[in-house]
Amino acid sequence: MQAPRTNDVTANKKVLTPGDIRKSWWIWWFGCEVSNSFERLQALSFCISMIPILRKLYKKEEDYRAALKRHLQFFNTQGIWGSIVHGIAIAMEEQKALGADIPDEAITGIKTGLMGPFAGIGDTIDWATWLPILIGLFIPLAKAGSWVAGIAPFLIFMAITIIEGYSLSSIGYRVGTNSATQILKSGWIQQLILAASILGLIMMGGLAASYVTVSTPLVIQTATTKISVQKDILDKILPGLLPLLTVTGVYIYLEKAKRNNYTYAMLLIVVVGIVLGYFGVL
Amino acid sequence: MATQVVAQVTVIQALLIGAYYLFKGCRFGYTLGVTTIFTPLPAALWVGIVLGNVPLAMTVGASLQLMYLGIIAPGGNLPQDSALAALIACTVVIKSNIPVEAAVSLAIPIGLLGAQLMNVERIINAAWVHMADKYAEKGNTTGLYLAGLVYPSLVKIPLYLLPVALAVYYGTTYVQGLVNAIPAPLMHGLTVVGGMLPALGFAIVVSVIGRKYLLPYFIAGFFLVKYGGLGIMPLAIFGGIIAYLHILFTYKKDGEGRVNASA
Repeated sequence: MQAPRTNDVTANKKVLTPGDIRKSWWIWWFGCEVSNSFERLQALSFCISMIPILRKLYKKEEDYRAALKRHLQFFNTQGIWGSIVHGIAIAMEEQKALGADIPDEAITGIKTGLMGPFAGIGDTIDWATWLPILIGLFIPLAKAGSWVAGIAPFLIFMAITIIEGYSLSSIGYRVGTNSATQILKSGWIQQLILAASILGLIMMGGLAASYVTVSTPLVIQTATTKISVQKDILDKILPGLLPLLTVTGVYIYLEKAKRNNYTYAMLLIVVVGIVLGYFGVL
Repeated sequence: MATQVVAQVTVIQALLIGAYYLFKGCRFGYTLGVTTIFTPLPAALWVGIVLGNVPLAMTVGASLQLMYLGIIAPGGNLPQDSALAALIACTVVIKSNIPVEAAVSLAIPIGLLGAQLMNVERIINAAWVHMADKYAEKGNTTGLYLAGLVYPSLVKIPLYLLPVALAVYYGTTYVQGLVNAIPAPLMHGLTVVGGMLPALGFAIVVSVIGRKYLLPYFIAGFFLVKYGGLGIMPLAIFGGIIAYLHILFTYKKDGEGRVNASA
């Protein structure tokens, strides 16, 4: 990560209104994935969201064009927690326009330096924890065929993340670069992630117990009776042993294999399930 | 389910189902559009409305949702397209009466295919960035908005709407013949797969959360439900309280705590 180089001489002067920042953020939220490309990912979306800001800040046409080009460079983050970087970029552009000595590379450097860490936090908190928990709450309704599950968790998720993203954008604009680096290390974010992780794990455990269904039809034939392996043995020792073993097996596979090997894990389940099912083991 | 007459999907219905895929492909609104990539439930609801059987569609969506729970796209690289899987699987189940478990298994290759389609789109999207470079050079603000929001969305009509509409219109009738040809033991195997696949979604979430020392909480949740028969909402309430207690007991008052060291 680059050393913060924001010059604070002009920190008291403001040109932009909260309305400008809000408008810019809404363009960012609306369009940040629309034009995602392999070449520069969210660069174009970021540039577009900066248009209202840059137009207001740079009256000289060549300054405006240079600023647009500056924000067409490679950028990729998570749209909600990355909003903090968005806010910081706005603050830096404002100071630069007011005459502070901020080189182009400083703005680009801060953006590329902070986009990764905040994307990591955002992916973990929003996509990998809050969304699965919210969906999990509505899974029983979905199983029962209710339309509510097709819309309610996502409206709630959208409302939460919009408040979250907009607040983070304002924080980024207010605190600037130095404090953003502090936020990454600060206690409350770590506490939030930890709490979300614990709640997420408990919920996933409970959902796994309800919805992973693996049982064996095997029967042990003795001289006098038939003993069902599932009902008479497994269910008496530890109910849910087979589903728990299945989740554990998949988890161990995901941990051992390289990251994002979801597809192979999926195919592996298909093969194992078909083979064991075909031969009547499961 | 031997010789059920398959009801044909109408042109309008096929186009409407394709339109959802276009909406999802446009990704308008980060936590609106991008969410539709990661979850099959809204797609299932849409197919249910279009084909007039919401309860059945939601049941299929629920089964798919468990499998895809926790699938995210780090760095924008999507491993599986759960929306496409849901659109096709729900249509097939509603129109041809095949078992839900079999439909879930059939959805897997479709989900893979959808992810490739998104890769194609992101290759095409590089063109708009080059266009934007020129517009920025000239200070053409309107051009930038067009390149960033309008052109990429227009390309998605032939890329997303048409193939899905065609697949739904022509494909559904063939699926039942395919499913009827599956021998009984293999069908049982597919049903077993359907029961096992939700394990993937949970394993992914646990793996993404990534704190191995917290794994006992997963086990706790599992057996609270298995033995205690707890519903999901009470589980969430207890889970929230347990999370609060954990933080209360492990953090020092200045907010600097052990987690920084162990994370």
